[in-house]
Amino acid sequence: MNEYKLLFFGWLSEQTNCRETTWQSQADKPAALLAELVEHYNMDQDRTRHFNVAVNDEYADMDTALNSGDLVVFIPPVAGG
Amino acid sequence: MFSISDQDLNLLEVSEDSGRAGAMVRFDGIVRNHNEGKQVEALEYESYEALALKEGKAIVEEALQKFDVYQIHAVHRVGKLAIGDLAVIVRAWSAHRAQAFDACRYVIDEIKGRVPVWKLEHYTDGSRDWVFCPHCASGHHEHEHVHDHAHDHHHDH
Repeated sequence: MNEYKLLFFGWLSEQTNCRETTWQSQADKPAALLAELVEHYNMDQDRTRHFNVAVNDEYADMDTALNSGDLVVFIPPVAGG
Repeated sequence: MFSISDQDLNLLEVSEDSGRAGAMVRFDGIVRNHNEGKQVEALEYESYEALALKEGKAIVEEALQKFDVYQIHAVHRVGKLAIGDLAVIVRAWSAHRAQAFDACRYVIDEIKGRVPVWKLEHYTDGSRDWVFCPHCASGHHEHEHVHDHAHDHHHDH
């Protein structure tokens, strides 16, 4: 079992109703971790399939290997500018 | 440099003091009163600041490498904004105008595609929604276009 620190922003923070949490997970990659979150919070996969991810404050791939203790942040499509 | 601010960007004083610059191109992103056919009353920007600062600084560094410019300054607002408020400012200084135009355009395009900032729009009908456009976020758009995803629409940026 791994433990990740998660931050939630924008739409995602409203779906999860929180800004940050510690998450116990079987996942060892962001893709699997996101799938756990989608199921737990019953999120719309039409939206989450466009997400990117950052690990320890760096953009990463959905199949990046995660280590227990990592900070993982899923990035909804950005809308700045 | 790149920064994130929760203050009115009109209050920001920035200059290039070396005396080398013969041109400064400035882009202002302004909160407009409509989007996707809805009347916008106000909006909120939220950022993942640690990554936004890293990515914004990387974009500025890229532009300084790519273009013959002396200095670039970009700042993005967060917090609650009203119609007409400045959402983002990009300034680029160069000896001649062409490089400053190119660098300014590069920086704003990359900011829109890469910097983790999100926008919650409040509409005049009382509803609200997070702007959610994967194609806009991909950075691969230039002008008015048609998206092929679920909420097909035309818009420009």
